[in-house]
Amino acid sequence: MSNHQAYKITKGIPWQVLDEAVIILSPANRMAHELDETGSFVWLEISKNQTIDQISRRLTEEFDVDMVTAQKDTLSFICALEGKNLVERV
Amino acid sequence: MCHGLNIRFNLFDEDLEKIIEESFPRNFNFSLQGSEILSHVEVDWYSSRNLNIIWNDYGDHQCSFFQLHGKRLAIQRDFACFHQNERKILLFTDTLIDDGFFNFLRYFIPVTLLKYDRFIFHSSCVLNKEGEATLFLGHSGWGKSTITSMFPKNQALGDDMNLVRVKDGKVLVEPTHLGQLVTCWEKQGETYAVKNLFWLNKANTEKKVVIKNMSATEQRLKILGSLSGLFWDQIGESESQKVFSFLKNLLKNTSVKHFSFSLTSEVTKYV
Repeated sequence: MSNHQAYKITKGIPWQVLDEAVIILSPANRMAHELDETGSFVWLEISKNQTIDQISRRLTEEFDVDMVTAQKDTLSFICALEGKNLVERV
Repeated sequence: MCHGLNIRFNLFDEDLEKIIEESFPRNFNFSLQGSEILSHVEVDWYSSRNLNIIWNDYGDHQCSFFQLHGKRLAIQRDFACFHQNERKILLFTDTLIDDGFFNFLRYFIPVTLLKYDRFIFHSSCVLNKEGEATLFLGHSGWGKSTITSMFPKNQALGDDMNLVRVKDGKVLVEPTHLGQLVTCWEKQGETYAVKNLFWLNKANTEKKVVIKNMSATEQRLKILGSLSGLFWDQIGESESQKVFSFLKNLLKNTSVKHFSFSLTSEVTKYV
């Protein structure tokens, strides 16, 4: 998977920000998920159809994390979201 | 009338007429709930037995959805329901009242009432002597029915499904008629203010009630997980926004707490 790959939230996934946390209603397992602070931040970036590199850069600006770690974590998180069909490639 | 929904069942089989006569008294009214009618629905109800439908083929307890000629077909293990339009439904069930009929109501009522900002909670509901309600949410088998059995019959409203809404900053509940055990018919059809919302944990061995606070995240997930009959892949954008808005309003006006008890606990003191 390239770091230049952009992602978007899968059409029809119900989600909302409540108390600064993103809550997602996952159709696949019919469960609700709530993301932590970093996860919510990444989700909001995905909602702007950003690439992994763009999201990682934004993470380094907002959190105390270097670019390499941010890329690794973003990639792993997005893979998990993609596995649940919550996000898809643009 | 069922919780504001005026549902007319058209019967086409003698078998179904017979089970209705045997299962409900002639003057039975599903709900004594006020005069407010939210919607009218007509259900053409057919016996699956006469159509040679064998339900064993559909072992899944979850509802499955299909599109047939652009319209929704819902199939669960003991009913099939085709939505001809918003007001007209074709229903196929077995000829036993517990198989199909109540499962159809448990499927159809929550998703329809969602349009009117009313939500069915998988919960038991009891009243205190002042007439305030306490709802116990929790997994199946974790004590919802046991709790109601610990209260006098006229304080136990329901052990499985209760209708909740937020109105003018108040959380309100009314017991449903979706196949749950009803011990107190005279209190059905009324609406009660909710005083407590508890999440049942596994029984404790301390012989006393233990109540603990819950994180905001946990409260939100417990509430969403307790909403009965809503399938996230089937509700539309505006309906899902209603779910979030209900969640927000509910937690603005009340909170969910952990609750554990044992059979010797004096549970009635804590509602």
